[in-house]
Amino acid sequence: MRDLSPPMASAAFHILVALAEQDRHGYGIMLRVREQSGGRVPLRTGAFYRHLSRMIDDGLVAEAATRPADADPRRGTYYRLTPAGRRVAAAERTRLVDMIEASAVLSRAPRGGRA
Amino acid sequence: MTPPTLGARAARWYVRVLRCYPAGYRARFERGMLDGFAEELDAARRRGRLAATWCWCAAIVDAVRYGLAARRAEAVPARPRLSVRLEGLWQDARYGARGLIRSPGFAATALVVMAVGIGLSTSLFGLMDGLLYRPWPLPDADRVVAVYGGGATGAGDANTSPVKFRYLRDRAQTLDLVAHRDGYLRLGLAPDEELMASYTVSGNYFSTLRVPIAQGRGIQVDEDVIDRPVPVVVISHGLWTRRFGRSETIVGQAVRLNDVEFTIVGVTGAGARTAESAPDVWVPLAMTPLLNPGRGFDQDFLRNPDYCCVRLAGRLRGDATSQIATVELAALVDQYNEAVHAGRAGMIVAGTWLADQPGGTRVLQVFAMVMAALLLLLVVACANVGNLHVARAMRRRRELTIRYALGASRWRVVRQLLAESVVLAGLAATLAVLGAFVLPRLVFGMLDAPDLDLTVGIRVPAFAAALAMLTVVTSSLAPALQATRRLASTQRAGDEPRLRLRSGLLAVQVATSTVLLVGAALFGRSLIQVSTFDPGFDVAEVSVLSVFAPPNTVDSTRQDAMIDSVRASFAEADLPLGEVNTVPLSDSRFHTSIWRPDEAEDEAETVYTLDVSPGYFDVLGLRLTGGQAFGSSDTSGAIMINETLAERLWPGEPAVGRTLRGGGMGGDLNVVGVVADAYLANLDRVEPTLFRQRSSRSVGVNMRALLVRTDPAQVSRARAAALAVEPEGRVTARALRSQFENALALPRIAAAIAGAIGLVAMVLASVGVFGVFSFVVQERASEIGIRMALGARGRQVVGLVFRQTSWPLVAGLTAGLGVAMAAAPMLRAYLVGIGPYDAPAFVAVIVVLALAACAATVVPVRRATRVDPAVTLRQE
Repeated sequence: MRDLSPPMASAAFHILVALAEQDRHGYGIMLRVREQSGGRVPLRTGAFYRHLSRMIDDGLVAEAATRPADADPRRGTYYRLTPAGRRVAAAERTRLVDMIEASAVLSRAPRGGRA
Repeated sequence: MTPPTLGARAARWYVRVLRCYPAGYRARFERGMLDGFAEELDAARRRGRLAATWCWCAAIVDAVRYGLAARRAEAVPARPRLSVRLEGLWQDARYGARGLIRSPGFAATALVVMAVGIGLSTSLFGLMDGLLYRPWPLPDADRVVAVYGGGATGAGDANTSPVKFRYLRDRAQTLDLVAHRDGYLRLGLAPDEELMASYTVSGNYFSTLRVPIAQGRGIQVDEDVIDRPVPVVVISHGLWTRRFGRSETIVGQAVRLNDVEFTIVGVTGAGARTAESAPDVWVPLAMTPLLNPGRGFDQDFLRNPDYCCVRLAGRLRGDATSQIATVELAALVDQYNEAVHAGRAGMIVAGTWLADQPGGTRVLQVFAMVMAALLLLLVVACANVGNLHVARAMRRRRELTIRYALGASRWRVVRQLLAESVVLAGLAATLAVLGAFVLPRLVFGMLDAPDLDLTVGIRVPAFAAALAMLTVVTSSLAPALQATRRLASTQRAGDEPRLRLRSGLLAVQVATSTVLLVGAALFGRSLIQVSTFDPGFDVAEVSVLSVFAPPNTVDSTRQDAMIDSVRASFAEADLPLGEVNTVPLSDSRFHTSIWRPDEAEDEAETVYTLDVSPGYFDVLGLRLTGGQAFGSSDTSGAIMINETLAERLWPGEPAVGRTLRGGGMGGDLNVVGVVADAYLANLDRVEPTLFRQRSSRSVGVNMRALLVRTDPAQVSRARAAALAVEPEGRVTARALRSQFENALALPRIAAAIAGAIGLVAMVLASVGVFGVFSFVVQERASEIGIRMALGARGRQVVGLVFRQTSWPLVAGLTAGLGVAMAAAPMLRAYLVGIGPYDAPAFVAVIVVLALAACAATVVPVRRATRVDPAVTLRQE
């Protein structure tokens, strides 16, 4: 298994987060990522599926065996987060939180000044 | 909310775009991607056409970018990319090169052997390519053909009179015919002027063949009209450079040729050639009578259908082939024979490269034989290199085993072993191509040969590369496979198979060199036979006198006067003087057809024809076996023939007093005498020969040779007499012996080449014998030591070694002799004085090979008998 120790690409993290909420189909994930990031992660088809295929290969994401009750029958495959994926996402979250805490000093520092 | 769907067309197009992705990827994600694109396109369409177009563009760029990335990512684990595999090869090659550098002795030996082997064959191939397969350098060269008289009889002479040429030219539909006659013309006025090689050509010559022109123009049709010729001349690029300093104002300049004033109208392009060789000047055929006003033959040449010859060439029209043209010309020749003048049937239309011409087959055969010998030599060389590889692979067995244990596949190990010999063969082939570039030039520079196009095209390197591949396969594939056998097993592979392989290689070597040596021995024996053999006429004591009129004499009467005084001088001293148109064993031959009155002309014999004076037989010491020699009183119908011809015409019956027809003479011919056979034309066989009585008409100025018994005092008297008539003339004498030596040159060269090849093969085979014996002694050193310790004698040890190693010698020799016996008859045509199964030659080969084998075994056998039991036992 590939070494997925954080940091990971923000797009990948967004995908994991989007899937953590619920199982989604491909386009659904892309839409959700755009929404979550306020458009700052402009995930397009090619890049998205590259991330997705890697995460499938690494066992973070799997095709959903059952489809949600409200699933559109015309949609393609639904994807779901695996337990491993959930752990990796959690680890990444922890890392990001730690970083934010560690960098709290930035918000208190006077502008242009020196500590 | 139902998701938007793509229209059928858009979906088709998008699926096409998605082909950028690898197949597996598409299988997994295509549906999802289509979904997503449908949504996006739907949204974009709602914003307008521009947005929709943009959406498409973005999708395409996206697919290309990530699709290719995905493909790359996917390719790596499945199969190394091409560059990676090439890198592996490169790595092998570097590894091979390093290995070779580490064993310079092996590398140098193998490289030299292979380079010589490949180089010789490649040089010969280059020569063949340049000599045999280059058409005349003219535009659309493959439509230009050479045309020969003959046809069914297969005789390749250009037996065509100008009358016949005009008849054919005017009627042929399949090709445009041109004609030329070669000769010499004197340029300028100075008495010491050299003669220029000339072609007198038909008016359509330049326009039909499209001879490249550097300056001015070619000769035109209206300049070659009989009785109204225009004295124009086209000069060669060489002459223009040599004599006129490439003057830009050359066209229009006047020059004198044989005292006739000509206007230069053009200069041919550099290297222009319309036959095997190129002349210095081209003039219209119709000028012939004016150029030699004193020569009766030339006066009538253009109109008398008896007079020959012009050489024909042509350019095929439309899509005619040379086969079609041959058929058409044969029909036209039949018409001509019926309507104008009876003569030989048929014509041959052939390509202009040498291999396609009537004489080319023989040249090709010689080349093929030498090539075969050189390839056999390469086989011997390869076997040696193979032996070296076996030895080397054995020393590296430990290393190979380790590689194998570390996970290299057998194929990988074999590849590594082959890499070395590929590097070697590559180097050898490079050297060979360089050699092929330099060698023929060197040889031909020394021989002062005609212009040869020896440009090394793509074919020569290709040939060298093919040979190199062959070398690799034959010399190192078997050793490599053998060395990697049973690498997995911990036990050491037995030496038995390796010895078997080496012995097999040795047997091949011995067999091949036996074949080559037999060839060499046959040629050598043939040479000995030739140089000691009696040509049937007196070679030693005869000289050839040549009489030259003062330079610049067009009229032959002044030369006649000189010759008359020489004759008178000999008559006065009562010494014989023979006159003939062709000196014995000279290159020029003259043939006519002859037939019995009860035969049809089609069954005519082609015979070597000589015009001789009565003294000819005396001077050469030719014996008469029947009848008498020409007397001065004989009428023009008297002829003599040699025994071979008599036997062919009237087997077992007397020939004297019989009648014949043909022989280039009209009416019935009476055989007045039969002459003992002599090798007058060449040394390999006695040609059926017709002697005609010398007449002034049949002997041209250039063909007059006087034969006398060697007698310096008489020669100087005769010279004085001739110079009294013409003080500025010249009389030279040379020994007939030199002619004989010239005739021997070719067999000598053949024997030298065959001998050299045979010798090299023998040396290589001896090295092979040495290698195998050494190997056996080395491998069995401990065993020999034990045996010696137990009391074995040196002789028994030698016997032991021989028992194990002599079978390849015996087998090789037997096989080689068998092949040689089968192949020897092919040499029959090239052997003089001996048959192809010449016992002395075969015995000599066996003896020489046996001696060579013994010599090669001396050192290893001595080593075997000197094995110190104590040392070997300690090693145990």
